[in-house]
Amino acid sequence: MDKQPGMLKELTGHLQRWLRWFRLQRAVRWGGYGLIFGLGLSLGAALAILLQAGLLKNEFILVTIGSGLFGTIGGALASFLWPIQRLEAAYYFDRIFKLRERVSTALELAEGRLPHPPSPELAQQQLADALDSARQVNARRSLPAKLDRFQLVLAVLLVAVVALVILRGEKLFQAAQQQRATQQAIAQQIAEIEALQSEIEQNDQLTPEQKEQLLQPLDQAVQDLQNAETTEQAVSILTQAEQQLEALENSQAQQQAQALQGAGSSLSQQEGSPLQEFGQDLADGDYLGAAEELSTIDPAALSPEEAQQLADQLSEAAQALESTNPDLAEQMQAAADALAQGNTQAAQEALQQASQQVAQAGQEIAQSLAASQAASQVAQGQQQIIQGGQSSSGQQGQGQGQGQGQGQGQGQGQGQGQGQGQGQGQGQGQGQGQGQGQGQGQGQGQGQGQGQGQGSGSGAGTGSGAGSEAGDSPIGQNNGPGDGGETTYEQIYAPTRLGGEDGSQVTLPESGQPGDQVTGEGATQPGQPGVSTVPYVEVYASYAEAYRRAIDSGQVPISFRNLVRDYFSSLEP
Amino acid sequence: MSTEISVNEFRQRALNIEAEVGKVIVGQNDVVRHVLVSILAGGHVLLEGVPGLGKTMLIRTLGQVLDLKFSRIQFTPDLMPADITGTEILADHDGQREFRFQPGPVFANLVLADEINRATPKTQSAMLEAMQEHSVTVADKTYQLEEPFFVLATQNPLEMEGTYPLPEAQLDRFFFKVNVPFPSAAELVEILDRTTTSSSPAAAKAASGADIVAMRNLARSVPIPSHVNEYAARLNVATHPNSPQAPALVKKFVRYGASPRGGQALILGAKVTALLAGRFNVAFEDVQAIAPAALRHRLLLNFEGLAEGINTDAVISELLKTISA
Repeated sequence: MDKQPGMLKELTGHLQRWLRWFRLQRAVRWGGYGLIFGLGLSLGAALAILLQAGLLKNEFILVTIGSGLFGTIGGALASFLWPIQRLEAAYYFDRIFKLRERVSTALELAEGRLPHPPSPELAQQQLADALDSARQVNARRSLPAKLDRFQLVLAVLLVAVVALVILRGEKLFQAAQQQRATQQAIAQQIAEIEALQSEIEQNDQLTPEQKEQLLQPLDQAVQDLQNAETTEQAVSILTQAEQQLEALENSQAQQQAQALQGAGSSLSQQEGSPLQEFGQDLADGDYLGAAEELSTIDPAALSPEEAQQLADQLSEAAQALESTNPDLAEQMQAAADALAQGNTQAAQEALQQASQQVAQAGQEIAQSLAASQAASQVAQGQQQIIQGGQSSSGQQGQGQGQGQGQGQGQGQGQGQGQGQGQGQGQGQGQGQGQGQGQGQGQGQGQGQGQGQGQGSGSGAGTGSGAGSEAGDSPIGQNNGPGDGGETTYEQIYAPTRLGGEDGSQVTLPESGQPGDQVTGEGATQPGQPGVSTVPYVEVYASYAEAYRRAIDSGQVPISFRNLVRDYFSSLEP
Repeated sequence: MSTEISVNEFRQRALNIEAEVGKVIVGQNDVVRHVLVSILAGGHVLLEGVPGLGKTMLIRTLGQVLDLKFSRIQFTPDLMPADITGTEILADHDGQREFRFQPGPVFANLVLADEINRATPKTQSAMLEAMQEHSVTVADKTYQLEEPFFVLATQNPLEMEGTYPLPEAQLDRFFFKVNVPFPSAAELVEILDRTTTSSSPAAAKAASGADIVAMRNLARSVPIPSHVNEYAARLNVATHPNSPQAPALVKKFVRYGASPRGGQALILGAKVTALLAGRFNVAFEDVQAIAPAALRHRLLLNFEGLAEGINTDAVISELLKTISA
């Protein structure tokens, strides 16, 4: 019986060692499950987000690897630290180590759990028997701390899928990057429009009604932009806002303002004249102040000479304003006439009327100016959004440019085209043909593309060179079709001659028929690439206007509108 | 006579008994082991097998090996209860006549009830009190049977005509029901060699009645861990078709499951099995080893089960697979 405590202690020591090893073994196993779970879950979620163009490459890597690590560590830690009762562990080890319930019986006997314990001798014999069996256990062999084959295969498979997505999912990442850039550009525009709204609200020269008229399209634009998801939607919203703001512009306001300013400048130089302050305010554009000054002139307080001088000045100003603001000119002339006739009462009334006209003109000018500024800012916003999307795709195009450099150069460059992209911004292509091309793409690293061809564009902005990544940079200025790493656009048929048929002779439909208007006749030649004589930037605006009109008027089928927009956006200088 | 016995002595004596029986009985190791377990656990055994397999020989040999008072009752349809329990007879005693109890063959330590299903239910039921209470009541007087007392009964599963199947209550009194299989070819050769020559093997005495009692007491003191105890209880409960733990086979083919005596047989049999294996505690495998013998006669099949020819051993096998240790 004296040996019993020692034997029990030794048996408990065995149990603790087994338990530690068991925790380790379980941690490895559950770490594997955690890895699989984390990778699988994050991969599924990341792919779902990625397919909606919502995840960048580094974010994807971060999410998948982070989740895998988190799952592994979390699973291992949780299983290692999971509480295990000693007796439950004894039941488990009895079964795993084939101890035939020796250890659990010994523990239950030691803890007095059995209602009818055996004799002390039998209990000690049982404990000794359990201890003998425990000594022969090799826990590490019976409980190998390793992943099973299923776990390994599954983990390797998931890692391979992650690697595949990282290496081959460029298009998805590019779409996400573009989407992200678009969203950022839209958010920036929302902020800028809100700042514009604030400015309008603080503009003292505008009446509440005018402010309301100016703010309404901006409010609507902000509201719509918050729901916009694509560049096209955002541009469309801003275009609509711009049109509404332009509608608020007064086409004569600028002339009025200039005329008033001119008249004001002239009057402000009349030293000692009652109209000097009025003229100064007009010259400064302070129409409300000018109106105030005009209303405070008291003709009755003037001497006859002063009155005559004032009448002359008013008459002169009236003549200057007659073409741009006849109502004001009429009132000023009436005041001048009244002063000349010595009718101070009538002159006073006419000056009051003129004062109101000045104030009204000032408000109109202020509204028009504000509308013009807002429209201009909104138009800039459109450009920024477009450029935002393009710069994103340009950055992506950089990679492709590097990859496709040689092919592009060979096909379209005149002479030699060498592209180098450095850092961010625009790639520069130097060539012997059209000189420099400003491309949206960026080239990183170094590369060269050489080739000769008949294309009109040379030196692609996308740069040519050797690189590893592909992108879809829009075509830069002076690029020939297909140049600049363009891959996202669908192939567009560009006819080289009227009719689209082969051959050198084309008969135009209806041409030459009596009574019909001849739109063209004679032989046509295939287009000669590379002999353009009009600078690209000069014709782009008219082309862009034409395509917008075509889209707005419904001439372009809905399914092709985005395609057309993308194409012309890519051509944008 | 020793009243206490060590585990090693227990095991040694049990192995000696098996060895001595083995001198006469060829093969049938499982049968011998189960009968021995039953005896050491203090239970009665029902041996079932076709004629000629050595059932009677086995029990008779056990009687010789155990040095117990042995009696054999050949059950027949005309056997009367008094033929088993004994009766009061009129006898002269000091010149006066008086009734004196004449003990029947049941008054022995080891009773062989040969072909027990051939006797009428009335006679079969005469064994009930003796088997359960280890006593016999005749003419309002109860006579205690000498310990140890074991009934080893045999029955023939083939010749059912003119037999009276044992009622459930009496079947339940049997600790184990042991099926005696046909020997293998090699065993049969050995049997033929032993029984067709002039010399016939004889078994020596290996244990006394007192030894058996001491071994039985020791077996009862073997500790059984709580989860093994619960396992035996779960097995017992799962034999009932209305139990949630019952496997599909039980739900479909069993009319009534094992009584609590089945659970007792599982635990006591497992304790003896553990000691015979040289262990000092009961393990799951001990319970599983004796589960068929302890439960097969306690499962009552329903009509569908009987019609389908379902064997209760198959049901128990399914039970052991389904109920996790």
